[in-house]
Amino acid sequence: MMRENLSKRTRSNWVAVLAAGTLSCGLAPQARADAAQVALTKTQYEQAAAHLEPGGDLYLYARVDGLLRKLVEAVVQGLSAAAPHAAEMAEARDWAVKVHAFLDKNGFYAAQNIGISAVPLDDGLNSLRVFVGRDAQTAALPLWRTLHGSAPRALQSLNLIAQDAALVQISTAEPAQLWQLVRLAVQDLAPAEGREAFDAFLRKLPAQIGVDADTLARSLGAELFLSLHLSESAAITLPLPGNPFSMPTPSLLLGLAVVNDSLPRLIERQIVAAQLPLERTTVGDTALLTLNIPLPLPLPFPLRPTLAHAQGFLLIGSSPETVRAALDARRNGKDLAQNRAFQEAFAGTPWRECNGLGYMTKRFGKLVQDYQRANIAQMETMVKQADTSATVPLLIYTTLMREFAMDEPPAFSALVTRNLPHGVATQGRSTMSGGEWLAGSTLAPAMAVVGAGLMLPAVAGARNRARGVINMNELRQLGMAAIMYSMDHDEAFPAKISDLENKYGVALANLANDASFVWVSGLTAADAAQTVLAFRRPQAGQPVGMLVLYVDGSVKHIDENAWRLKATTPTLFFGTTDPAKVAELQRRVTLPAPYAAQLKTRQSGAQ
Amino acid sequence: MRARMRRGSRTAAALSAMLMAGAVANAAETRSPARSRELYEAIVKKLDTGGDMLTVVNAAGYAEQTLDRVVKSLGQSEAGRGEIGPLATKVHAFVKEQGLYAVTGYGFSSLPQAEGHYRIKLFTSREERAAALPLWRGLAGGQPRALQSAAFWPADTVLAAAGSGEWNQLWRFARLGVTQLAPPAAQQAFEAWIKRTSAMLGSDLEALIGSLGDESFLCLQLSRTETIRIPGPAGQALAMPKPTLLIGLKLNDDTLPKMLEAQWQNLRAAGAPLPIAVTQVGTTRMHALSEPAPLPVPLQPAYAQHGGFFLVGSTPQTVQAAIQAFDSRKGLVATDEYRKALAGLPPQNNGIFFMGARLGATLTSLRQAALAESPSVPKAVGAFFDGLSRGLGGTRPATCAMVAINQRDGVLIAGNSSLSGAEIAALTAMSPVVPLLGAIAVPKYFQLVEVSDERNAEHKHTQEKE
Repeated sequence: MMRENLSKRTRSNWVAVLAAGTLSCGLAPQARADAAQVALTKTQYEQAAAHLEPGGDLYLYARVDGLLRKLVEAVVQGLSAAAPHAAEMAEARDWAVKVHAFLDKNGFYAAQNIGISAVPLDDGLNSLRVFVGRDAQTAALPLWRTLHGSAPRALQSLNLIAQDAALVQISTAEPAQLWQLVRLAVQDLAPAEGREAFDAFLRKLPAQIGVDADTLARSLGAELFLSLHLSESAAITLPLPGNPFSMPTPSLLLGLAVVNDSLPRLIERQIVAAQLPLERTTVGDTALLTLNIPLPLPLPFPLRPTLAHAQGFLLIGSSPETVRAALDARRNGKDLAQNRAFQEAFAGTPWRECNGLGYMTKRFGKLVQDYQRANIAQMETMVKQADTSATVPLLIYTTLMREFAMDEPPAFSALVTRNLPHGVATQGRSTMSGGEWLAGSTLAPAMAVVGAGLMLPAVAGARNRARGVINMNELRQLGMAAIMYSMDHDEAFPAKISDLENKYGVALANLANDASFVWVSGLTAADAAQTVLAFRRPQAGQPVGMLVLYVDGSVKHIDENAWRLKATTPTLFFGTTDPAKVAELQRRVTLPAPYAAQLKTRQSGAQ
Repeated sequence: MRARMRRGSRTAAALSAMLMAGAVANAAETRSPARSRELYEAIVKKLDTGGDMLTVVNAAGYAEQTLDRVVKSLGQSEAGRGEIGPLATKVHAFVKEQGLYAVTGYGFSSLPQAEGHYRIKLFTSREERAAALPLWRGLAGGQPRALQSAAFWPADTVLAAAGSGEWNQLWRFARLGVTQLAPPAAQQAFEAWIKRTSAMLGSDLEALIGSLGDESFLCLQLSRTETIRIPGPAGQALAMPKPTLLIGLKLNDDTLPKMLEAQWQNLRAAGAPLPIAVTQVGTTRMHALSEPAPLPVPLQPAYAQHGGFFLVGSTPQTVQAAIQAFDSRKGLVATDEYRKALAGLPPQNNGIFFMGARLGATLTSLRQAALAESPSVPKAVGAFFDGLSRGLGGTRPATCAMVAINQRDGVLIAGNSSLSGAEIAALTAMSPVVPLLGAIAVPKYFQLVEVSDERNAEHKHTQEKE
């Protein structure tokens, strides 16, 4: 058995070594770079260079023409070589051949080169350009139309986005083409049973949803957008632990171009069928459907999903007001495209005829920055409480992140994408410099992982400690409130903690919901200082035992053994060795039955 | 001791955290458009445009500004109290003084040539003032010149690298680092180590390092006539050309050979059996171990001083071949492959790298033999990797010839490679795996250090009680 295991291990090690060896050797050269190839390389470089900007702090161009094709062909060749030795390899080869043909036919091999340039501008922003060169013949294939649509044109979405949009993403991607691609993939790549199952699913669909999938796909237009709006007047508070974060009330709007009402009607039918509470209102001649679903969790911002079909778009807003604002923007001509800040942000770019647009305002950038700062401050507090071996590096990490974040201007970007015959070109302005782009794409992921790796144990430790501190603090506050109550009530402590409700500034919610919490009633401030007045179990993750509040207002954590002894020994529980006083307390004090029984049992046992 | 170790590991982790956080955060540093253009043009003119890869990155002031901000913010915060803040300030000052911030940018280009080769250029732009500082002299050397190293490389060399980096300057840099950054106790320990090593060698370590010249090389040979058999993955013997290794160090004087001679004389005087045999190669005396080591790979170290170089070979034959190559000028430099590979590259330079086709061919055939003969690898798997390799073009071995030139404004590495820019980028793209592994390893490492410290303390306590 051991030999077999060893053999398996040796085999897997060797397979790994051979794989690595083969791949590294595979990176070795090969395609013969004859004169035609050299000329083609130059032509492709010049095509890409025409869409990039030299003279900045980052210029990156790489020709990737044929790399993916070569890799897939090599896999096919490998599987073909292996096929005579194993039937599974023959099957895998047949499938790989189909995949190769599918990728080729549908334009997956069409990418020829990638270029990126970043040039600093006088206003502190950077001019960014990205170009993905592509074989012009493939522009009309489903893959590229799914990603970027057809020729550049005026974006209809802009008319439906209100001027308070803080973050906008628009694309002329064609979801119908994605469906087309899925159908082709099933047809070309799936096994016979898979194809049959898929066809059966499509046949059943009209009966289930009232429309067939192809009709539904055809009803989708060639534009979609997402916009996030931040209220100018209303604010919400996010419950960051220990440090609530206030921000403008956000709302979200999603728009999907539709050529008819198939999709809006389908959604409405499904909502009605599910008997979800629906509110119908109108804005002009547009019907709004608002879902009044009780949410399982309390959200700090309003959420009442609302649908409308207007201006050739299916609009889905996070509230009816959001959708109304979109319709008003369109009707009153006060949409985003008319906004001066927007026009300035996109000045010099072809935003009026394009295939996509990304806009992040400084207002949104500042909000993100403020949120990051609040989080860093929170993290610092937790790190200080954690006291692990990673405390010092974490403190430095958080300090530097805070210092650097505070110094930087809020992030901003305004980028436009165009689907051109020879490739997809993106251009615009951003606070992101070339160095930042490089650091972001290389160092930041590594840093995030390293930071998370360092942070997790410390944060977990800090969270546990913080919970412990909170638990103890709640008892301390309760003790203070009880003492104040006793001062007002002839030294008597409250009979139950609800007597303290809304008095002396004590929060009872957590204690009231804690099943382990016990209040000992009948005690007075004149009783022995170390008499147990209340107790509760520490939360999960805390050291086991009991948190105990004494008559003098002090709170202590005692371990399980000490608690067991205290809970069954009247002299310890009542903090006095005087038998007469103990007997008097036992008569006067009310404890939940199990504890009272424990104390009595111990006492009778002792007698 | 335990506390010091823990403090040390915390300091190291703190410095790493500080550099990483700073590096990313500082990336948004505003740059001057005019300076950016000037630097871009300075870099791009060293490269080839119109090929399959072109990268220009402006890094001017990046590292310095990052560290400046790190030091400043640490100085104002609780995190910088204790040893971290002052240490960061010292490191910053040292790094600045030693020219590590002098890098202003990078450029890389790859241009396809005839016969599947690519002209590769890599330029590291550097401030002119830093060229004479110890670190740069240690790594890149001084003015370009015709290096002598290649003349020593035997004709069957398949991999070779030579450089005009100055060992004594690197040593100077290391000494400065210890003096300026290490705490007094570590400085004393370092000085004590130098004294102990000098006593052990019977020669002053500093004088020994000072005797090393401004050129060194390393090369690997694969015999064209002799083969050896090495154990394969399943114990089967695999045949391969006999490999040998040769190292050469240019000498300023004969301190090093004299030190070795003194060692042999001491052994002789002590009546110990001398394991060294001395032979003549022309007019040069060669010392070699009397017997080869019992290994599957030939190992019988030998050395000689010839042509101003101290040569160390894995066998006496290697040193002999190097001496003959140098004297006759009929070594690797006379071969067609080498001449063709280096054609068009500046003969006056600061470093040469050469990888011949036989190295890749040998590795490929070893891999294929291992696949074919290994009973532990299923035939189908072996055939798959073989086919995959052919598909990727791995049957044609990689070759490469590069020279490094230390110019006034930076270091240019230029040459011909069978790897394209995209292929080199693909290899580079695999580098993020390292920090990922690091991220997994670092917290675990600290845990292990703590556990180890605790166990040591417990062990010590138990021993003391006993």
